Amino acid sequence: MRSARHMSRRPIRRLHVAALMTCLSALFTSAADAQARPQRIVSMNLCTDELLMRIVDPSRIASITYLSQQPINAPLGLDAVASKLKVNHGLAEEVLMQEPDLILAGRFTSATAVNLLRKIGYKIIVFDPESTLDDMRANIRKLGEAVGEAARAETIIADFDNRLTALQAQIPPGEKPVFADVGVNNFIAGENTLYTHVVNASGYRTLGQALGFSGFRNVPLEEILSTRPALISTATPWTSPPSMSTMALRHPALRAIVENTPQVSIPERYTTCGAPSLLGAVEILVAARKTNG
Amino acid sequence: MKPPVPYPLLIAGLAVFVVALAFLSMIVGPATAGTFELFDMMAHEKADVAWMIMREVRLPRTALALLVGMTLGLAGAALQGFLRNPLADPGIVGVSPAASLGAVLALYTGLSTAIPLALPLMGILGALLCALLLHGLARRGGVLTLVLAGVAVSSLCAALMSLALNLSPNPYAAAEIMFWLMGSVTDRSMDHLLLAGPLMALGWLILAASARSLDALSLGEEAAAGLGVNLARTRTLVITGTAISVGAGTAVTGGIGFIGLVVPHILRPLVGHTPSRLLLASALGGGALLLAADILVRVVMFGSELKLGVLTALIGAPFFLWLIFRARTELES
Repeated sequence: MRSARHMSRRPIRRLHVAALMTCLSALFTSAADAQARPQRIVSMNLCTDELLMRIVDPSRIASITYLSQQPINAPLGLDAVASKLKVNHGLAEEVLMQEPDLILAGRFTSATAVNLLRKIGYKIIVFDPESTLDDMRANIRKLGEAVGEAARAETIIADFDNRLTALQAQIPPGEKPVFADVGVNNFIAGENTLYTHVVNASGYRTLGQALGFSGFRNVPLEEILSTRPALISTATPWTSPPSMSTMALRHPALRAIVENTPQVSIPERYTTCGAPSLLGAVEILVAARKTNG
Repeated sequence: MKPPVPYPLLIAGLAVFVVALAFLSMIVGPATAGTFELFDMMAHEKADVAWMIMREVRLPRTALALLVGMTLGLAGAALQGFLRNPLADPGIVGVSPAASLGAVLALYTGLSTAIPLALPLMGILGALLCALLLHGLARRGGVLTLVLAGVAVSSLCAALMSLALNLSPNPYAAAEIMFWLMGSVTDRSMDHLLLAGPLMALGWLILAASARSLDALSLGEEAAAGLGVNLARTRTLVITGTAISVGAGTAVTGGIGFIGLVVPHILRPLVGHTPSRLLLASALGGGALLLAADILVRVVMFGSELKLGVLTALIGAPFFLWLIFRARTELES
């Protein structure tokens, strides 16, 4: 009886060893594969969400931020992809449960969670906000290399540049007229901002450039009224839900200008991030330039 | 005055309550991650991840909510006892605003992105500077001078924080400062706990050393002096203890209001209005209240997580009004 049991155990043990070997080799190959090309990527920033969704296959994305699923923030043309992905709210616990092999974060988002995750030992790549189109191209390349898709990143940059060149070819010649975006709190873009680079690329100057300052600035209504913009944008998603920013728009003095100036509405989601969604803004501005000269 | 509950029973009851809440805090996860998801993971093959979350995320969070809550309750009770003013709390003497200012400067200058622990360290520095300033200002004056000096320091710190927000060149950095000021224990690490924990404990010891004098002070300054209480020594103990413990706590969590104000008020009748007994009771009560608030923050999710400081103020302020209203009707009837 004892010997019979002994006999019967042997092949089982051998089987165990074989199974273990298979498991181990599978583990090693998948680990090596994951090292080169992360398979469970978490993005904790709205802007890295968009770049990630454009660069890798959705099957490799463990989660994106909940913001990317909101209509107000949804990146251009990615709604179908975003709606199928899992989301995070920038909490370390959620991210840990998704067992990421790579975490992408923004410089200013969820800093405590990012510090904690880094301390635990997760691989985190931090992206700075873009203030030029070249910053955007650099971030696309950086993300492409991080996920092992350098070639795909180059394709995306090339597609962006081709589309931009095609749009720019439609801009009528002549000096760039002033485009005034007074939508958000009189918070106006001057030189050296991504917003201004996009507006310039679309054949306009920003109000901030006309007033001659750099960076973003809260401009008093008086100064806004002293300029004569050729195009105006007042409607942004911030007009609903209501915010203080819309108060300026109801000022009678501004209303007079608004009524006599051509208007466009550029959704905030086209200009928040240095990402291909910017083309949405360029399209709107170029179309306005074509109709209004 | 005879307390309605025997003191040992009250302390034991509060301690059981605190332990139960700490246990609950370890169990409950953020609603967006699935409140009890972790136990699913433990039952299946992902036990190591689940334990790591327990150890590295929930443990420091729970410990900090408990310790900071205890600190705020204790410091509030000590200050109310020393100043014999029911409105006193660590915010009024300027300690927590000064700690917040230190932290805001770390955020504003970008020091906190370069060195992760720069933020709490600057916060602690701010609180200590505030304590030094208060010592200098209140050395010659009495209790009133101390309160007024505290109010002035508070306002100055608030103004400087607004200035930092005002001049912030980057809307993202400004938003980061604003969110930090709302107060939270979410995603703090063991590093934060190891940095603030020992300092909070040191502050508690200093505050506890003032207990006897606080009892004597409830009879009035002159009577206390007659009983051999050294007012200057008591003031030094209360200010230093508050600055070290509340400064360390605020530096890690941001501003969390109303606990230091409300908790001593709730518990004062239960300890028979004895200031020394109120210290331990308020510490336990503060710990329980902040743990409960932090659990609530995880369960109630509106898109993103509600900040702890916002919740304590939302619950604390109406409750405080009710307390005042009740006290008034008692006094007038």
